[in-house]
Amino acid sequence: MGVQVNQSSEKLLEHLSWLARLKLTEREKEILVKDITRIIDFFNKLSEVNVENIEPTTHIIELVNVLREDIPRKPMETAEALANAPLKEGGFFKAPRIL
Amino acid sequence: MTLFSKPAYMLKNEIMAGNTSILDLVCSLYERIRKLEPTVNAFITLRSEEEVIREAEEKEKEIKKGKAKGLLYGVPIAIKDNISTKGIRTTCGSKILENYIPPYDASVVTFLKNEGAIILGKTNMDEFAMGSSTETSYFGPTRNPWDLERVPGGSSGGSAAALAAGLVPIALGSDTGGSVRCPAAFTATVGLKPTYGLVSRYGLIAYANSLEQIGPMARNVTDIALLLNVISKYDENDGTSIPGNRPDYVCSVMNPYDLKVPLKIGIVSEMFGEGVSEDVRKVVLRVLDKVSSEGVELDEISLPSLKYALPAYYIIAMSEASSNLARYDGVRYGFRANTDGDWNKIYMETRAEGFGLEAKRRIIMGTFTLSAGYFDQYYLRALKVRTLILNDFRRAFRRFHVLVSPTMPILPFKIGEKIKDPLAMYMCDIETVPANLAGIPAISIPAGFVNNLPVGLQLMSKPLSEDLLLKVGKIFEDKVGLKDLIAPL
Repeated sequence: MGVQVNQSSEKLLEHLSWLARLKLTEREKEILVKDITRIIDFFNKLSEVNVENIEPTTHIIELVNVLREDIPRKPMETAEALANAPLKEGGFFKAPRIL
Repeated sequence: MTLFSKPAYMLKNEIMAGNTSILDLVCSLYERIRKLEPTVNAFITLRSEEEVIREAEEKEKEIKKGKAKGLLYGVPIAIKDNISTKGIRTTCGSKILENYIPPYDASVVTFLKNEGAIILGKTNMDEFAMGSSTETSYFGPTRNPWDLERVPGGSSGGSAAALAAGLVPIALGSDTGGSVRCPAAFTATVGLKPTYGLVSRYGLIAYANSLEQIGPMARNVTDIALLLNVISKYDENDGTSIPGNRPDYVCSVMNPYDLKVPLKIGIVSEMFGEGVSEDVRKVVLRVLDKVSSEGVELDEISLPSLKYALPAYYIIAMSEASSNLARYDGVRYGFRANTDGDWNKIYMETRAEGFGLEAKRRIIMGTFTLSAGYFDQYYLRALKVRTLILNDFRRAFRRFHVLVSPTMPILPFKIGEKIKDPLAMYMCDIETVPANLAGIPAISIPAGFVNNLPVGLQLMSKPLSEDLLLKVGKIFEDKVGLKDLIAPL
């Protein structure tokens, strides 16, 4: 495919993999390092466009601050909320230790 | 007409009149499912026949009592597996949600149940809706009923295949970059992506939330209108739901020829150019020939910004995906890696084992486009290109009622043909992504066949004009004469 992969692409992938908290196998790294180079090239096509004085569109509908009345509603039962938890204890989700 | 091939609008009338038994209908669908599912693989989860028979019997009792009420009473429906169904496993086609059972229904599911629809099961899809072929599903690919060696399109390939194989009369899909329209085009069925905000996304498991909509899928335009009447209500649970009443879309479709002026159709030059196969172009142009007559004006229009729609789409979609998929941490739901360690270690390994390659690819790319130093050059720039595309469409809709293009640039391809080359796969979306970027409604209807492979035609109109779009869709459907098609399996 003739994709220019270099140390900086590999470093970039390491960095992104950490930011995304996504561990990659060696085989996945081999595949993705080529992919990200090609996809970034594809994205670079946008550099041809003149976007001077153009506002970004984040949302198409012009709804702003959609709120409801601050009236409490019936919450989900604890048991229901915990039903899909891989690990739970005493009515809590059990998360891995932070430190 | 066999029971399983009848359209929903016919079934619901016959059921209410007592002329068709819901039980017979359900049994005939399950018989077909037993025969064809092992090959087609349209469903990830099917409700048990016993359970659905019980529901059918309850509903029959209500009809006899004269108490049955609902726009889809007794009509079976299949639902794409990224739409939450309470008590029914919802996987998004991913290992990371393999055993997830939602504790609530998506709003569209609540609306369907209120109108008496019977949920048959959850359909196969590309993992987290990321794909155009239904090949990235953890549960194996779905096969195109028109040619079992080929893809049904994606990411709502399961819903489309279920329709084309005559396993259900109506279905729901979701469309972020073409995921309802692409499989509709590849399976000779009809699929609509509504105006952004028309249909509630509450309960739709997010991939790219500024782009996606749940869309109705069926074998004819009238069923699309019927389904849209049910699902398009304003919903206060979705902060992007557009307030206000919706028109009666079935009424629109029943009166397609009441436009008071000549219908003006715009042929978008950029969407018929390079990248579109000659076969596909010929079929669509032939339909336009058939349709042009007195009362229909066809003209060409150029929308130059569309050249940049595909990279803009993928930058925005992947960016949003990287954020939306951060929640899969193995703590509150879903797969959790069986390992020791601290937060980061378990989080990283859970995601390493739980996600497929395409999901990982998009998370990584979306992380890149949002990261410090690249955000302005990629994500922000893409949002500005989005404005240019919006402006081009606004300009076009001042001149035309609808715009037309092929739905897909190519014929349905073979399973395995494009999966190893992500960019080749992304190229399949060139005709469909513009409508998602601009938030406008778009529909794919069958246009013809090439070597027995379906070709779809796409119509687009301005925001909140589904009544007009469906009228024009009905006119095209009448002229082309391809509706209620079921593959000869």
